[in-house]
Amino acid sequence: MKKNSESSSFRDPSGYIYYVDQKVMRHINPCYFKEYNHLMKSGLYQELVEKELLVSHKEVKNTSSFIEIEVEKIPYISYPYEWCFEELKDAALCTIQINKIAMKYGMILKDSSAYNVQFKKGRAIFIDTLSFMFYEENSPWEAYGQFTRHFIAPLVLAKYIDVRMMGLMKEYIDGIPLDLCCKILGKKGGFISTVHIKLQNKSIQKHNYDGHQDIRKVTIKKQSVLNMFDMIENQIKKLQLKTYETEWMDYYDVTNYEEESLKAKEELVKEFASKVGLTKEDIIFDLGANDGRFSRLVYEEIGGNVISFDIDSNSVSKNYKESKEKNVSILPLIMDINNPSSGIGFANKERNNFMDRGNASLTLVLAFLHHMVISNNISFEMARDFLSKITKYIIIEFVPKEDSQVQVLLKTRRDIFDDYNIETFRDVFSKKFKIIEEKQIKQTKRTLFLMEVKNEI
Amino acid sequence: MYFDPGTGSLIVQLLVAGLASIGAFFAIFRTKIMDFFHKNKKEENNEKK
Repeated sequence: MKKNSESSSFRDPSGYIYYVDQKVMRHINPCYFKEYNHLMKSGLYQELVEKELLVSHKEVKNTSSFIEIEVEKIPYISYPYEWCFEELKDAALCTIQINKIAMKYGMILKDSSAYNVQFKKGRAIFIDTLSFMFYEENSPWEAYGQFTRHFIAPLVLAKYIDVRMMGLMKEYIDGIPLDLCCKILGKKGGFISTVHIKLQNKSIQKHNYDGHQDIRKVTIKKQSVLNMFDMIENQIKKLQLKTYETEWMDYYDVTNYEEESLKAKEELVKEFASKVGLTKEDIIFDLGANDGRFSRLVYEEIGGNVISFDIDSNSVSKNYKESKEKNVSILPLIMDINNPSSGIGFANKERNNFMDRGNASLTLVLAFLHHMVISNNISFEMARDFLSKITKYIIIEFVPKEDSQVQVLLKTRRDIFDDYNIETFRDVFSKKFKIIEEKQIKQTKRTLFLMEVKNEI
Repeated sequence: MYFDPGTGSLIVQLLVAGLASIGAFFAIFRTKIMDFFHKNKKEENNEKK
């Protein structure tokens, strides 16, 4: 393996991913040449790329000992435990659709890990070019068990138990074990769970020790496998979360923004954002993005790739639906910024933690700092150091104590925040950031800052 | 294959794919019946015209 190889790219002997400068490269070993050539020459690759289901690539080298391809880059890598229900659902449907198309060309997916799907411009896209194998006539789908653990299990747990159950994906890197899923579901789960989870779990338990004896070959007609894909597709399409209300749902209706002051804030954010010279490749973070109101505003103003983080899955869902509809490069993710994703997998390196996954050029911290400081006792210094590690520029809103939103937070706890004032905020932040702009938002006591990280000497 | 697909997960597909095929059969059947009535209705309407 080469030096800068991707740390999650070690299981499949067909090849591996590595990075050269900003480029994503894939090395293909001779044991996969036959499959790769079929994928490319049969028309399968073209159809999948045209339908935006698979990342495109260009061949850089083709020798007898290896093939090297440069793969289309995904702006920001995200993981299933950060996706909302609809994102995981779209990732599942993308996987099934690929299988259905691949079968026409005599191929099928050999694995169906949720980590093989990423998001680009509000669409789920498959990123593993080496996941295709020849479909052997009358054989079952080998990745069905993995598909159930990675997609069906978290989706039905979210629907029938609680949407937060999807977080279990973080605990189980190869998907939620079906016996655990059965225990949690009990009698709940509907027909989809009876068929794919409960029945399969029984079968797994029964054949647990088959490794000790000769395994009988399972034969299923090709048409039956296709029917199974259709059934799974229909069942997943039908899964809908019951709408429920969360404390953030009507955030913009109950916050103390008058129409005019919200407009004023929007204008200021636009003005500050346009002062930062960004390219369309740049990453913009929006922390505590809610339903993505300001993510969209900034995206429309300066483009780039916006990653909107919020702790509330409902707001993330709302944001995702809108971004998908508008086909914009906004990726809404569920994340508690006070406890961001850790690294998981072998040596904690297979799935990167939030801090190591790439920084932003610009980060929006709008009406968010007071949640860090007052709800979580994070000091200005800690918030500043954290922000200075993840971004170059910040647009940050300071909400003073007398603001009703801060008062709400202080109502139920003792006010131990003597230093929570704009002077201290400015002093602390200017040690690591250069303040470029500072303007009060009209008709409020809130102040908006544009800052740039100082280069450390 | 570079991981264990699980014998149980392979065997259960006989049942799952079986169920899906029964479902598919009835779906076709249902569409045919619907089409039949729909067609009749259309013809009736055409006759009325």
